[in-house]
Formats: sequence, structure tokens, C-alpha cells
Amino acid sequence: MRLAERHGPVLSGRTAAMALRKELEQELAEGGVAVLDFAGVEAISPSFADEVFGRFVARAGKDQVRFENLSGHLVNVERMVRRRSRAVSGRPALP
Amino acid sequence: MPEHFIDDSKLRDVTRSILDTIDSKADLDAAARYGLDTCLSEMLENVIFHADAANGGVTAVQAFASGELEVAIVDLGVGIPASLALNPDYADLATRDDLTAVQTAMVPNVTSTPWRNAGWGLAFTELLLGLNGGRLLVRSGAGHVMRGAKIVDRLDTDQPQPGTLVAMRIKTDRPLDYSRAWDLLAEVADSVDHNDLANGSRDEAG
Repeated sequence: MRLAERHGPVLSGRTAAMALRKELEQELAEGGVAVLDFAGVEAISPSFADEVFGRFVARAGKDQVRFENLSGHLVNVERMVRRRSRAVSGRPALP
Repeated sequence: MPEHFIDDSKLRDVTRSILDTIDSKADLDAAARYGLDTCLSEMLENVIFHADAANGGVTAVQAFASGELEVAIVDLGVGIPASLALNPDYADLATRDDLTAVQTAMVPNVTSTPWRNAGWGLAFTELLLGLNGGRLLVRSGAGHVMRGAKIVDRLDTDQPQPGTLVAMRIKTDRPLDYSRAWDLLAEVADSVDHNDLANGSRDEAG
């Protein structure tokens, strides 16, 4: 899935991210691996990052998700969200 | 022209409208526009997800002769103290006084809805504007927090703010270093253990 083609160069909005997460989870339920292509993505908001790099990966399992074309700062963002996600893994489950 | 929004269906349009207004008044480069886009979405969504405001929120943009721009977002919802008090981890801090509630809400990882939010939006916005040399003003109830070149945190019981006001002042002749803001957010978020923050509030409350 090419995120910039769908959302533009800026990935923002918790609502949009939640819709994306649910779509991806549906795809995973039908079998396969979720591949998210970040080519053309210039920026990501904290909420979108939390939803995609944190909550989606936590629910799907890191072996079921692959990120491609993460640019310099997005790599750092993904690492940070993943670190926080592990640190707060005891937080309440998503509805 | 002020924009009114009542739910999340219009938020992308409102964000685009604000950015277009800013573009008409200042020559923002693409990186600055991207950074502002991310902050605006966070602040607008705070109204939708936290304010519980029947009439949604209103945004406005003002240009100053100094070349600075200010984007304000206001709602007449429940306010930060009442919203934050919904999270038992921060209820003591949220109900101590309105200033403590607003200050707490601006700490990374603090949110009234941990099942839905990471609690980074206000902190990220503060960092981005700080790097720009601008400022972030957050007022809710008697809580008044201004962060930027000057820090002004005070309890304003004479003129409490109904609901919540967030005002972002931007210096248009300086960069909005969005990726550096993310780096700083990571550093600050890692240094704040929200369990300590919550436990601290419980310890002090006895």
C-alpha cells in the first residue's frame, strides 16, 4: 500500500490512521503480510505514527508488517514509537 | 475567515483551509507547511476527541505586522481539567487546580484516553513552535500556560477560559524544524515515566 498516493505527503489525523489500521487488519485477517510503502511521505503526525507504527504493529505482530522506503527521520519516528509501544505494553487494550 | 468544525469529517478541509490562508500571508516553504500540517491536525482532533463540545470548535488565523502568524483553535467543551480527570492516573493532578491540569496535559505520554491516544500532540506542538522561536498558548479554566521564548504559567481566576483555547504563534521568517521536533519529542518522552508522574500525584495526595 503506497501511503502517499492515498493520503498525500503528510500523514496526519487519528481518524484517518484508525481507518487505515482497520483496513490493514482486515487484509491481514484474509492472510498475508501488510506492506506499507512510505515513498513520497514527507511528514507524519504523532497520532498517525502512534496508530500505524505502534498500535497496528502491536495488534498484528511485527512479523506481519513490513515498512518500505522509510526516509531518515521516519526511521527515527518508527523506532521511537516502537520503543514507547513496548514500554507501555500494559496499557488498556483497544476496543 | 473563522472556520467552524463539529466533527472529524471536515478536519482535513479545515486544515487545508488554514494552511492556504497562511500561504496567502506568508511564504512558507514545503517543510514548514508539512510541520504545521501535523500540528494542526493534532490540535483540531483534540477538540473532537477530548472536548466533548456539542458545537465543535472554531479556528481563526491572524497575521501581525511583525510577520508572525497566529492560529487559534477554541471550543466550549468540558475543558482540560475535566477531560484529564477521566484518567484515574492523573485525576489527582487534574483536580488540584486548573493550571496543574493544563501543565500536566502538556507532558508527553499524558492523555485522558490512553486506549486511543499516545498523549504527544500538545508536547510535539510545543517543541515545534519552540524550535521556531514562536510560542504555544493553552488556556482552559483558570489554567494559563504559555511556552516559547518566555514561559508564563499562571492561574487566571479573574478571567477563566471556558472550554479550551489553543493559540499557536509562528515566526514565518524562521524554519519549522519538524524532524528535529520529533527527535526532541523522543528524548523528552523517554525521560518521562508516566507511572512516576501518576504515582507522584497519588503520593502527594496521600
